[in-house]
Amino acid sequence: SAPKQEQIEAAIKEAEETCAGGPSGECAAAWDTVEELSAAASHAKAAVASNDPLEDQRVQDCEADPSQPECRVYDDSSAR
Amino acid sequence: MQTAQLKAAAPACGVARPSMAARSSFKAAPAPSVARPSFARRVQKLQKAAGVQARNVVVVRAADDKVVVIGLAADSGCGKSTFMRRVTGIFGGEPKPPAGGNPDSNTLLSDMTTVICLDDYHSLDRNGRKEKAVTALDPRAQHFDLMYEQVKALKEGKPVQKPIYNHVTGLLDPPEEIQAPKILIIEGLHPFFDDRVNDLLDFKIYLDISDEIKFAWKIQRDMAERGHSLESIKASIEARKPDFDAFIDPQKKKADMIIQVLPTQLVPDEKEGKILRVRLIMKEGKKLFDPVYLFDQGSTVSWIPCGRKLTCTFPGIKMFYGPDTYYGEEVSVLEMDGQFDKLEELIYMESHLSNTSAKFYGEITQQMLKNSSFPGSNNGTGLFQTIVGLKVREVYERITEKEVVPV
Repeated sequence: SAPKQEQIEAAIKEAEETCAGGPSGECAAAWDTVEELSAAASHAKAAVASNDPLEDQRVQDCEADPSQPECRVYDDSSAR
Repeated sequence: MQTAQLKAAAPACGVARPSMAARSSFKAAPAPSVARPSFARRVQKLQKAAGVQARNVVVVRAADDKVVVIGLAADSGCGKSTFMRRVTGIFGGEPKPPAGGNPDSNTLLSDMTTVICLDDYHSLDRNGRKEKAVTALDPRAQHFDLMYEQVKALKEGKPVQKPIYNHVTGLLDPPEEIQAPKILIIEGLHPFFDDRVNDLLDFKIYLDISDEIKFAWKIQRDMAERGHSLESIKASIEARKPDFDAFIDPQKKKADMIIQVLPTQLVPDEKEGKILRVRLIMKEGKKLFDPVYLFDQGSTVSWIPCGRKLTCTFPGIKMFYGPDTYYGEEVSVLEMDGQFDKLEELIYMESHLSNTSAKFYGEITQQMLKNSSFPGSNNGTGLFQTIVGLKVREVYERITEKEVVPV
């Protein structure tokens, strides 16, 4: 699962509030949480997003049922 | 429901799941090679129903097999996952999370490699760090005793029960079992921090991204998201910087190879971080690998490959090679500034590099083409990451005295 947009927004808000009193350990820790969530979100996005929604759909359908005619790949080279 | 499971997120700190393009060919019936957790179970069920003998998953290893341990250090958002995809790609097979386990596991397994994310050894979870007012960069938030014990056990060929740090919830989840692989890669913030762990590593890599480029990359990564503003990205980098400088950055002195990413010198005031000057710093006199060189080993060479034999578009490419010292140690530096637009440029440059550890002419170019959708594929980051990947293979071959067949 990916972190929710609201989760990141809340973390940023919290960090800004924590840091209102100048730099501190709490402030660094709060921004570190923002960084961790942003990195998680970006990794999740890189993993699912492609530039081709049709291809995404095909991948999804073929993973659900690889035996459909449009999904079959017979690799003859490894047959013997 | 099936869809939801398939869309389960990739590990937050490990190698991102392969792109759609990389997964676009599907085999018909039982195809364990495409398997991800839910899919693997389906295949097993189908096989059982069809009376097919399920493939044995227990791997028996000869006692004399050595586990080679590689360490990769870098800050968050510096391209560790792209780098891992390039390195594991050299050994073939698609790295995937452990089948049937925690969907938020950070571990990635392929036939030869296991990549462990060191965030799993956090001693304090997100709330604990908040209470103690420390960042994840702080060694007080890391459990080095457990890290040492488990890396040592894996190096000795024993399985371990490794905790899982969940990047979404910020909690430490129940552990998962990790078997000893042929090549163990530990990646994260502190792989060389503790000397006991450091001594277990056979090859150490550090990704050193300059502040300007880190800023530019994080803008590209985060600006599209709501909530992030230029100020928040700047504030985040600045708040984490003291801990980064104190605990993470000094580790680069211990690395065998350092990939340094700097702003270009070819275009004045390039602020986007698109054109890069990338330096590969290689320690001299190591037993397990030889540094790459350009034209003549040990000389200082500055080379602009563009000319009558090669047409480059603006701003062109500039290579540099020469001896240097790095924190008092002898090193060789190979540098590339600029970017290439066409394959010809890469094969032309590859043919002038020596000691690349490639097994055939054009292997670097072929690897780069295979992963052409990854970030950095048209500049020095991709080129040097690929070269370091070939060095990892050579380190493995020299330690185990076994040959890896190129894929």
